[in-house]
Amino acid sequence: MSDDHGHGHGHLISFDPTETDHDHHEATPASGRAVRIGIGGPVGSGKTALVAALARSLGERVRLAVVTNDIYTTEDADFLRRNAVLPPERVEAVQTGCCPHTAIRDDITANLDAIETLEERFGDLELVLVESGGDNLTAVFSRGLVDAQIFVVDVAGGDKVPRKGGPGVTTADLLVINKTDLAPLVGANMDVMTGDATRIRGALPVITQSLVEDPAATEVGAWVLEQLACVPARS
Amino acid sequence: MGLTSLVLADARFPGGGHVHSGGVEEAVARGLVQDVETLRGFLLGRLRTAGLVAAAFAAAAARLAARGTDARGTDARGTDARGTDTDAWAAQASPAGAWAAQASVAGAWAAQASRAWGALDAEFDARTPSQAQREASRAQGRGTLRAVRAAWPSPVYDELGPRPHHALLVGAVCGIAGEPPEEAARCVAYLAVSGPASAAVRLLGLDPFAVNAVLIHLEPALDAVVETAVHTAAHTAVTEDLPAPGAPVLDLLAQAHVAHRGRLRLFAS
Ligand SMILES: Nc1nc2c(ncn2[C@@H]2O[C@H](COP(=O)(O)OP(=O)(O)OP(=O)(O)O)[C@@H](O)[C@H]2O)c(=O)[nH]1
Ligand SMILES: [Mg+2]
Repeated sequence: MSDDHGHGHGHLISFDPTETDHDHHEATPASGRAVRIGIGGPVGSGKTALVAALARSLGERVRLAVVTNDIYTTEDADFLRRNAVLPPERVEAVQTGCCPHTAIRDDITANLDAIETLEERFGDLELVLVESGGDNLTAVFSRGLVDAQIFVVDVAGGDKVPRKGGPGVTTADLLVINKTDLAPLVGANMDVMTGDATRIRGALPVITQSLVEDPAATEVGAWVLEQLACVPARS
Repeated sequence: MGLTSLVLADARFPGGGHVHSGGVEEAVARGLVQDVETLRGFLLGRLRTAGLVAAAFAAAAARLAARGTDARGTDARGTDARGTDTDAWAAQASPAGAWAAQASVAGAWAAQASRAWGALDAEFDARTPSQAQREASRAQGRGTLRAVRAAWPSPVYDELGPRPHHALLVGAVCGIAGEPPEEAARCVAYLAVSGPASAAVRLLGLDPFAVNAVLIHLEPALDAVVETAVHTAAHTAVTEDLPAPGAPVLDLLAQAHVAHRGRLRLFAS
């Protein structure tokens, strides 16, 4: 096949046992742990852009790391590493077996493993951001995985989205309506979006933002810092 | 089947199994598994090799865990209900069957059990030449341990370490819950094919009814694997003699899967 390795032919699969590292052995888990915040929302709504913004604006002050859950590739993790938003060792990518919502809700094992790996690697993490794979409006994070969650929807997805509701829009600790700069271009009515969102969410907060206009995600950053102050550190 | 082995075999059990394809993702990428028929062959081969090893070790682990649970209870009562048992595991764990005579039955048992768990772990490693597969097995064990500690608390898990092989842990849980080794073996043998079958449905969009029927058609092969596993676990005096069938292509597929980092990968194994 394609694995030509320099002597004129390719093997079906190359297998050199000497190529491999030693088996991984677990360090003793660090006591205490970082606050975990999930960032979910439909495909392309701006989750990775938000993670990057938060890493840039909070990275100096807060010891943070990121877990990504791409559906298809390590695109998000690669983006964060490539753009030097975070050192590569602070980003872990999780495979979700084609089921991004399962990995954040029904069976959170792979994500917990990734978080614990990061906590063991750094010992003193204060914040882990978990970006879900882009999914639909019903995807929410398990409370067993994160302490708080942000749901990101996109103005360009249409101003009907908040009205449709679903557990993400309705129950997330913070709803972010992103890409407000695109509203005039797609004919989205921001008053309708925020009005529907606040009606459906009651007292839960809603932030509208444009990462083009505010690349630091100032308001969301402030909300995250509040969570760090008030989420009791669990061990 | 008891509730424990049913729950452990359930695809919805939250132990991280859904992110593992057991080599199917790589086999699909290479065109080795393309449809229901090629999947059938893949599953049968996997069942008779990796599945048999897992089943035999699960059965052995179930026996060992059940014995450990008994020994602890025995110590509390100050008697040894199992002292006359000539079982191979006791013989291995305690040369000359002397453990019943020990002043502290549980203390002696603990040291012997610890050696026996270590032997099972090392022998399972030895039967898994691919590092990627060892990692996958231990990753599933680690994930399952989290769920298991919450549902079936037991000091036995301390013997298994933080990243036990999945088959050993499942066997241990079944033993702790009082299920026979046969159920432990059936559970892991089934998981050896059900997970990959589900992965194939997701990757290839195969008809789920056809794939489900393939699993049911594997029943005679699965029964044979379970029987061999249970029989050898019961009659093998030394861990080294547990079955060691190999499927080199599965090992190679697993290695190739992790080697190609740049490529599309939806599954951890
Ligand atoms: N105009 C505009 N574009 C934005 C904004 N935020 C993000 N984008 C762009 O939207 C696209 C998708 O953003 P991502 O951050 O990759 O979205 P995502 O939610 O992580 O996507 P998936 O991980 O694929 O689900 C990128 O091209 C971003 O640059 C915004 O506020 N305004
Ligand atoms: Mg993304």
